[in-house]
Amino acid sequence: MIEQAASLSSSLPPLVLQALRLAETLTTSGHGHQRAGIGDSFFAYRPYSAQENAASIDWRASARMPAPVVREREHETPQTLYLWVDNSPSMDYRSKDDYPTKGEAARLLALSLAAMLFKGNENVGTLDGQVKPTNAASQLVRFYDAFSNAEPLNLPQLSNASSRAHVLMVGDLLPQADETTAWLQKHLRSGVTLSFIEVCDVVEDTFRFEGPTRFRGLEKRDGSLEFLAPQDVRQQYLKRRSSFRDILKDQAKRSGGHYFTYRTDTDIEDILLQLYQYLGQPRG
Amino acid sequence: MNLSFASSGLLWALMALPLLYWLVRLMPPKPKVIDFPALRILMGLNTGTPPQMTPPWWLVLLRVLLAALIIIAFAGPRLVPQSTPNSQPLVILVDNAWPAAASWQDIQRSANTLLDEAAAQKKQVWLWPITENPQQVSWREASAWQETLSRLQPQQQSADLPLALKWLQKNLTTKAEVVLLSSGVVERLAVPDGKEGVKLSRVYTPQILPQVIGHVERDGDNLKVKVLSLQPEAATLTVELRDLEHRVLSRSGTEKSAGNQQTANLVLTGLPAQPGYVVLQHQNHIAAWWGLSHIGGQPRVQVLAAEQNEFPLLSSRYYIKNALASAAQVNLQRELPDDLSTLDAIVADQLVVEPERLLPWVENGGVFIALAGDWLREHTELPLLPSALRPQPRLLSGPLQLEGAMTLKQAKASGPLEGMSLDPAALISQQWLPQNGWADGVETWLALQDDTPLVSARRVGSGWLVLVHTGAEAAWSTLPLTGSFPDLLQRLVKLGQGHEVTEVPPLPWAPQQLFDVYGKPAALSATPITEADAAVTPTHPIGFYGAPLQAHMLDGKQKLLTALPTNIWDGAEVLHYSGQNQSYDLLPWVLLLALLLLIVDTAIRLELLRPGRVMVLLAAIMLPGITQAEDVSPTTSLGWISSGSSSVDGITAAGLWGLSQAVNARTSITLGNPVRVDPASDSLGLYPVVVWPMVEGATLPDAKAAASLRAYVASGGILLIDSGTSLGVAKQHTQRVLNTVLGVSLAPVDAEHTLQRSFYLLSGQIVGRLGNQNLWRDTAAPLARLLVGAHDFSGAWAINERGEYQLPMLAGGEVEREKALRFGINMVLYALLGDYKKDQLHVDTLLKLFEENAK
Repeated sequence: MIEQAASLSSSLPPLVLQALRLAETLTTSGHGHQRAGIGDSFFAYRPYSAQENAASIDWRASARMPAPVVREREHETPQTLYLWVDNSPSMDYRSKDDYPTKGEAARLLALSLAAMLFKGNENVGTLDGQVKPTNAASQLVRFYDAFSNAEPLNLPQLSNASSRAHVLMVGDLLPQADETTAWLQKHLRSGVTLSFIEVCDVVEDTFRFEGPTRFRGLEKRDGSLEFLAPQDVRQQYLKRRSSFRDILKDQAKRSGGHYFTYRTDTDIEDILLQLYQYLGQPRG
Repeated sequence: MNLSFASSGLLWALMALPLLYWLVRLMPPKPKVIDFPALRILMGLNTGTPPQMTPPWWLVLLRVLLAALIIIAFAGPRLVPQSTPNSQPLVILVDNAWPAAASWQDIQRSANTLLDEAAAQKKQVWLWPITENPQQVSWREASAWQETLSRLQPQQQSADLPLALKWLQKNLTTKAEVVLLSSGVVERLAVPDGKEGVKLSRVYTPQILPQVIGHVERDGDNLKVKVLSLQPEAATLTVELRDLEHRVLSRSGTEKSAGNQQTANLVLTGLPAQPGYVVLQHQNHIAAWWGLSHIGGQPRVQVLAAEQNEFPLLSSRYYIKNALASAAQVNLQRELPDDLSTLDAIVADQLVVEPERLLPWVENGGVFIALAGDWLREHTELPLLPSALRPQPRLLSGPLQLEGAMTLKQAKASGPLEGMSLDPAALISQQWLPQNGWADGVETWLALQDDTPLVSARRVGSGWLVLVHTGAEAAWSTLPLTGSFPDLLQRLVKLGQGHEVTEVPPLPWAPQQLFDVYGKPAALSATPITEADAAVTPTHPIGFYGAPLQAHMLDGKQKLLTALPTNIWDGAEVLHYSGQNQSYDLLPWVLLLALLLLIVDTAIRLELLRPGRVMVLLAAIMLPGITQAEDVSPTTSLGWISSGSSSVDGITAAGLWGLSQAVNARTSITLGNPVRVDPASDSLGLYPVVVWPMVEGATLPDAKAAASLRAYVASGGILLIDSGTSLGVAKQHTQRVLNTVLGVSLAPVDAEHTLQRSFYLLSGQIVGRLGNQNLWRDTAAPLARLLVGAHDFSGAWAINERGEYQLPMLAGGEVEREKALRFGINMVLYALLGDYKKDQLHVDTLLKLFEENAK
């Protein structure tokens, strides 16, 4: 067993290691649950004060003490985060060799997030049910396998998620915005918080093309389109993109989540920091 | 001028241009293929209007023109001179005799042009280099002669022009056009008369005829060079005297003398090496060369001395050679030549074999000089000594000797050594003394302090036997190390001069050092000269033959040169070689134009240029005058008032320029070029700082200017009056200006003044070119308006156009200059910002106060 674990950790995929390293750079003190709060497990005893309900006195413990004490329980969050990473062919794209592919970026982002959340003792699972919610950092490798082996183009069942779960979807979202919306209308239940991280390449985001150009799609069903003057349709393209984005933003907002955009030519720490701040802040 | 093409067949390709245009129209460019993940967003968008492949007419024109230019460039366009087209064959008679070297480039170029022309007209051509002896006229295509022409060189050989013309008349069977490409110079014996011979249709001559050395002769220590010009109004020249290794020994300009003659004087004494020949600078032809064998003059000396290969500086041979190098022709061979008559003197520091052989030579006038070293020990009775010597030399310095080494005494008056330089450093340690007093007829020319002989000599016949009683090695004397030694030897070998020697060594003379037809040293193949008056031919080029300095020359043929009369042929067109008659290669220009069009086309394709911009660009190219409109943008500039001295004004302007540069580089202020202002007419208010240098004796400004200056000072610009300039400190004039023009009271600028810290912290040091001194300011207002100093600030700031400082600081160097610049920058900032910086200094305290109040 021990040998197996050791070999497993030494063969951690580089992505996982990178994710761990990224998570290290962001402190998780805000997430520390080493404090008194609502929960089941014992945290500490403290002296009883007069204004408190007498029922809160732990009599058994008080009997061993000179004065009555109150039993405090450790704060626990019932929330669980479910991750989903788009594994469709359109994610396997980069406009320049300097950038990571969108899929790589999305997986790294999701893994880093998971690693970060493990540090804060949060429960994380995959939405398709391959990895059950856990808070053990050793499961990171399984997350990696789950993300890489996920069925392409398969929007998962939300039924795997618990009722008050937070679902985080990482992918290029916008081209399939209408499908996603339809899927959401079908599956989204109240109580589930939905956040999106849109991963896009710089050429998608800016669409700076000139001269006759034939665009070839990456999805199986996509064909190709030829534009004689793509610069003329740039504004329309960008407009459509932002309108799709607005739909998803609206969806996220209604469910209590948030919409993030990550462009693969920018620094991944930035988006992680944003996510960290968003997830770390107290929410109603 | 006509346009002609090297390969006109290529021009047919121009017909294909419209085809190119159609091809461009028919084949639209392929679209780029790009992978794009967000294709679905694009779906349903307008894919653009159907292909519009009608480019604007000017772009088509541009590209067709570009293609046409490239085709034309390949066809090799040339402009050839206009000539009356006729179908007569052409005879080109090229003068390539030796005088043609001077204008050979012109001749060759013109021949090329004629060939081009003939090729364009498809004429038959015969090119005849005049030094060749043709059997018959051989017509060929013009282009076939190009190769011959490119290899043709002027020959070291005479040519007979009248004979050539006669030959042509006789052998030219068809009617032909005859063109003579002449050097403009002919030998006097071969001047054509214009009556006989073939009729010439064109004669080319050079515009400037060459200048030649007419004669070189020795006149005492001078070399007189006579230069002949073949045409009046020739420019003066420089004559160079060179040694046999072609180093220039001396130069002299020529002076015009009678007629077309010029003369130059070259001094022969004190030369670093032995002169070899004379050339005229920038006259690259054979007749500007003169070998110096004809001048005679220097004594020819054989040195017999052992050589020490390991330590050349210890051998006497080295000292003897160098002592004589500049004054004699030295032969260092170990053996005596068979013919002693070529020698004037022999210097021996080793035993001479067959001394009997030398005696007749000495009687004949030769001088035998023996340097008495150790080699005499067994041979004190040698017949070549003036008298027999004692068996052992006298030791003057050594462990047992009292006297010590001895110096030279006076030379014998009326002897050949009279007036010789006697170096007190020459110490003689050993000396040979005569056996039994002096033999008859032995003279002592130089003696030591105790009157014992150092140089003695005996007359034999018309020659001399000379003995130097000490050796050249260190064990004998230090004489060779002193200046007396060259003097002594040079005087001695001169004794042999003037004796009867046969001037010319026996034939044959092997070639030694040869020169080409341009008068340049060259490795030429030549045969030995076997007859005394052999003429210069290609097998006997000019140069040195036989003995080292036996020049073989054109034997004064220079004197026989004359300009070619050109007006003797009826109906012949006489032309000068000049650019006008050259064919002109258009290829580079066509290619350049094509390149320009290509650049424009590329720029258009990259959408750097849109049609509108092209027009603007064209306008900018066509009308450069418009773009050079005066810059009227309002920038702040420093001003200066003229001091009345132009040199001071120059420094002031340069100083303010330097200060402006420093301000621009170091602060956020941008100053324009400094402006000279006239207080009487200009508005001073535009300038934050006006510098006014004071010069003693300058006129005071008139009333209007004075009022303007007072107003400027009162209203708040800074007027810097600098009484220190490069002309000194003008105290009185400054005083007058202050009293009569400005009328202000002054106080020194103290160390606490804002001027001391408006940019740099000067800590009381206000430095100009003349050093650190007090600066004075007016006391009328809290802000200084008028600064008066005697620092010469401008002198410290002044830079030239390369950014180098013009004047040195009086003291302290560049550190002080930096201080001066800092003051200048402080002054500009003070003028622009006033006391603003003063408050900035207290900003810390103010902030603290605010914080305390906030609490």
